[in-house]
Amino acid sequence: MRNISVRAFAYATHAVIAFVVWSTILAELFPSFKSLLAGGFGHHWIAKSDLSVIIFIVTALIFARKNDPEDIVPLVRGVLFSAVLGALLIFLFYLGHYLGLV
Amino acid sequence: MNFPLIGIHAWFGEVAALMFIWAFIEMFSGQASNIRRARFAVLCGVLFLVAAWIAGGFYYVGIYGSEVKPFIKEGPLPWAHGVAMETKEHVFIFLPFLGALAWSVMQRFGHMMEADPRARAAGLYATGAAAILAGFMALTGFLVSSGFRSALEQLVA
Repeated sequence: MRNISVRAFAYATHAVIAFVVWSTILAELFPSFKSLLAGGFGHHWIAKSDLSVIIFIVTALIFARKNDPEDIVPLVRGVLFSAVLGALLIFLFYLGHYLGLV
Repeated sequence: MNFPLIGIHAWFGEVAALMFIWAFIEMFSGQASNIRRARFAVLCGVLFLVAAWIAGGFYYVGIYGSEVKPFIKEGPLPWAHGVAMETKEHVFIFLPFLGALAWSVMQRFGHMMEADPRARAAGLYATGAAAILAGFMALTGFLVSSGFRSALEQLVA
């Protein structure tokens, strides 16, 4: 863990958040995509979970050797922003879906 | 119906939230002993999140879809599934990775946090993010439970 930069973990977390948000929205809009996810892993949620782990590990390894900046606050704050935005997008999408707007 | 898995999931998740809040508070003081405890709390938080993920996953895939969701959808609070649960089950996936990020910040920059307020601020952001989202999970979990309870109340009324 000490050998992997915080930058790598931050990029990997961004990648996971982006994947979860877009795969969730696309799976609701396109049932064939949801079936594809479910078909490969038994359940669409298991597919998203397993693929998130794989995306996180691969992205972290790709950027593992990238040097960390002296000030890592913007890097970590960016992930916080990304997580809140991702959660908001998912919530608003399902609210719209529930109300029949999407 | 008795679902111990949901109790186990909730317990792990709430303890994880407490661990990140504990780490957050320790880092405000920022002495070496505080940072040491914060590092321990973050590690425990990550492990509890992973345990909550596994327990919640087994419950969601094995029980919720067939034994809980239909009741909520037919009950007086169908949005408890349509909005709260759908949001919860997906946003939850962010959490173990946010926890891992917090752990990497503690591992790589923990030794600097006593002297460097910016390194400590990064730790505060990372643990704060995990604590906020874990709290959001507890809130949505409460909404889903309320949806199920109100559906059962409607059945016996």
